[in-house]
Amino acid sequence: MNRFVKVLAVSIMVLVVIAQAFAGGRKEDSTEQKITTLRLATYDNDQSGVIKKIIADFEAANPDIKIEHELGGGDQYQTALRANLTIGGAADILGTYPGVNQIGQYARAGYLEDLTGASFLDNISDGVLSQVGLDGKVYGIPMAVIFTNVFYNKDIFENLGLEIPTTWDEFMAVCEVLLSNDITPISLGFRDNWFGQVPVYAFAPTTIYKQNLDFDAQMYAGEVQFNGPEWRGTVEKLVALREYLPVGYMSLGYDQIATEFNQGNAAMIIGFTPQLGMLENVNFGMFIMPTSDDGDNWTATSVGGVLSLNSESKHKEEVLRFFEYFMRDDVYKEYIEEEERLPVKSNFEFDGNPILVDFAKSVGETYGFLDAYWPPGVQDVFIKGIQEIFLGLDVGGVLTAMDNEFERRVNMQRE
Amino acid sequence: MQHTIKEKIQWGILLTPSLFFVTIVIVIPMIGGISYSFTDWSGIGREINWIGLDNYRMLAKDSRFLFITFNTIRFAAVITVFQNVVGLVLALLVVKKIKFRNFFRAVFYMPAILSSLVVGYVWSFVYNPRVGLLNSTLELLGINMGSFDWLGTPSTVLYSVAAVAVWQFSGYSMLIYIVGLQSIPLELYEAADVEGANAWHVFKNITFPLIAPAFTINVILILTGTLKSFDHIFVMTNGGPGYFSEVLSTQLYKEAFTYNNMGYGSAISVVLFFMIAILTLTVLKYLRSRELN
Repeated sequence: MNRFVKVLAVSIMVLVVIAQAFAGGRKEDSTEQKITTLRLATYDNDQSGVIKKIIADFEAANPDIKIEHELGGGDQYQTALRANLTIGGAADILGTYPGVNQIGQYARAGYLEDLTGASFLDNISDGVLSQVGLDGKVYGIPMAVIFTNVFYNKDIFENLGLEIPTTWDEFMAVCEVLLSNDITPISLGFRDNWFGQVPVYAFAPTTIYKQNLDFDAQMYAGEVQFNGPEWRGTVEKLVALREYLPVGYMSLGYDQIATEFNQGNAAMIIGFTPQLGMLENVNFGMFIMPTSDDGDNWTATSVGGVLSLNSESKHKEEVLRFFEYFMRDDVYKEYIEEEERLPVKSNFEFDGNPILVDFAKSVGETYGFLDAYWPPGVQDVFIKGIQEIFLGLDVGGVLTAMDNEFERRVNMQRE
Repeated sequence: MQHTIKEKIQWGILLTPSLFFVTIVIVIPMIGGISYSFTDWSGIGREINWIGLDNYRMLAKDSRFLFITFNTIRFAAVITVFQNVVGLVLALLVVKKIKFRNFFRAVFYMPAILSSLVVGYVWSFVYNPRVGLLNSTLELLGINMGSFDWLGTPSTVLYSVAAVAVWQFSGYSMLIYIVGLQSIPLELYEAADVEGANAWHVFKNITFPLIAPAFTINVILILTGTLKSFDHIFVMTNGGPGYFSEVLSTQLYKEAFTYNNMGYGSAISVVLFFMIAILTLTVLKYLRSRELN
C-alpha cells in the first residue's frame, strides 16, 4: 500500500511539472491599470540606438502607453514570425518584409490590419506602397527605400585614371583595367542565396523591364519565359563578369563581400544601399549599375523594413498612435538620418550621408526587386540556376529548368 | 495475484509521463505531417483543402527530386562507410593498454557533443579557398591546391561536407566498437598467438566477425541519422552550389517553411520516412543474417 501511494504521488508530481511547461502564456493587461503595453517585434539582434530613443520619446509624450521591443535575433526571426502568426500570440507591431511572398502572404491569410488611406501614409508614392500591399490595399508602413548600386573605391579609380562608367562597354573596360593591375574588379559572392540575387536584380530593370514593363504579367500568362532572348541576354552579361570576381566566389558570404572591399582587395561591389553601413576604411562612392548601351540605366528598388499591425492585436488604437508618431516629419527625419537610410516620403528634406543622398538624386527610372512579383520558391530556383550557369552548365538547359519550376509553382499558388 | 495487478498498475502509472511525451512530441506530429501531405496547406493562414495524392504526383514529375534523392543516398552511404572505418580504427587504437588511453577516448569523442551547426560553421572557414586551414596545410605538405573551393565546386562539395560529419561523429562509433571489442574473450587472442597468426589474420578471423553486432548497430544508426541529415549541409552550403549538395531534408525544409508549401514539404517528408525505413530494414536484415553466421 505504501509503495503504491509513493508511486502514485511521484507520477502526479511528474505530470504536474509537465503541465507547468504548457502553462506559460502572456498575462493580459489588467483593466484597472491605465497603462497599455504594446509589443513590437523586429528582426534586429540588438537595440538600435535610434529606435530605442524614438520609443522612449513616444512613451514620454504618451504616458499611458509602454512599448516592449522584442528582438528577433536575425535569421530565426522569419520562422518565429510565421509560427507566432499561425498559432496566435504574435506581437502588436510586427516587422515584416515587402513583396507578394512576405507581407502579401500574411495579408492574404488575414493576419495584418488594412492600413490603406491612413494619414501617416501620406506623401508616399504608389509605387512604394504597392510593395507593402496586396490587391490595392496597404498592409504596412514602408520604413525606408533601398536601391541596387555599385560601390567603388575612389582612390583606386583615381590612381588608375578611371571614370565612372555609364554604359556596359565602359563598365567592362573599367574591369579590364583593374584586372590588369592585379586588383579584383568586383566583390561578389553566391554563398548566401538571398544576397546572390541582388546583382541580378541590378541588371534586370535595364536589360529587360526598360524594354518591356509588362514582362512579368506576360510571364505569368506563359507568353514569355526565362529561356528567351531577354533573360538569355541578361544572363550572358552576368556570366561575362565571371573572370572579374574574387577567388572562390561560389562560397563567399555576405559579410566577406564587404571585407574584400574594405581591405582594398576589390575595387567595386555590385550590391545594394543597405551595405553602406558595412563599408569602412575606404574612400568610396556609389553609382548606378550601367548595363545599358545608351547611358540610360534603370535601378532596382525595394523597401527596407516594414512595420505592420497585427489584425488580432487588442491595442490597435495605441499602435496607430505610435505609427502616427513615427511617421511625423521630425521623428522620421531622425530615424532616416541616424540609420543612414533613404526616405520613403517624396521630396523629403533631410541631412543624410552625402554619398547616399547624391546617389539617390541620380537615380532615374526604377523597377522593383523581382522576388516581390514571383511566386514563392522561384527566387531560390532562380539563384540556384544562376549558380549553375556560373558553374558552366548549359544556359539553355538551366533556363528551361527554371521555366518548368516557375510554371510548377505558379500552379501550386493557384490551387 | 493481487500483488501482480497492483504492480501492473504501478508500472502503468510510471509509464504515463513517457507515453504522454511520446504521443505529443512524436505520434501527433507524425500523423499531422502525413495528413498535411494530402492537402495544399501553405503553412500560414487557415485555408486548407484536401487534394489527395496531388502532391505525390507532383513529386513524381519533378526531375530535381530524383537528383536530390540521389544526393541524399550518396551522402549517407559515404558517411556510413567512412565513419565506420574511422570509428573502428580509433577503437582498435584505444583498447590497447597505451598511456593516456582514457584521455584519447575522451578527445576522440568530444566533437560528437558539439553542436552540428557550430561545427559546420567553423569548418566552412577551414574550407575557405584562400585563407582556410585546409588549403594552407596542404600547401605546407607540398600539395599545392591553389585556392581550390571545396564547398563551391560541384564534384567535391558533398564529400567535403561528409568529411565534417565523419570528423564529428567517428568518436561516437568508436565508443560502440570499444564495447564490442571488449566483449571478445581474450582466450581467442591467446590461442591465435600460440598458433602464430599475424595481425591481419587475427583481425579478419577473430576480431571482425565477433564485433558483428557492434558493426550492425553502427551501420544502422549512421544510416538512419545521415539519410535525414540537415544541420551540416544547411549551415555550410545551403544545398549549393546550384543543387549539388541539396538533400531531401534541406529541400523539404525550404518547401515547408520558406516557400509556403507545407503540404508539399510534408509529402517529401513522408517519402523520406519510407525511404529510410525500407533502406534501413533491408540493411538490417542482411547484417543480422551475417551476424548469425
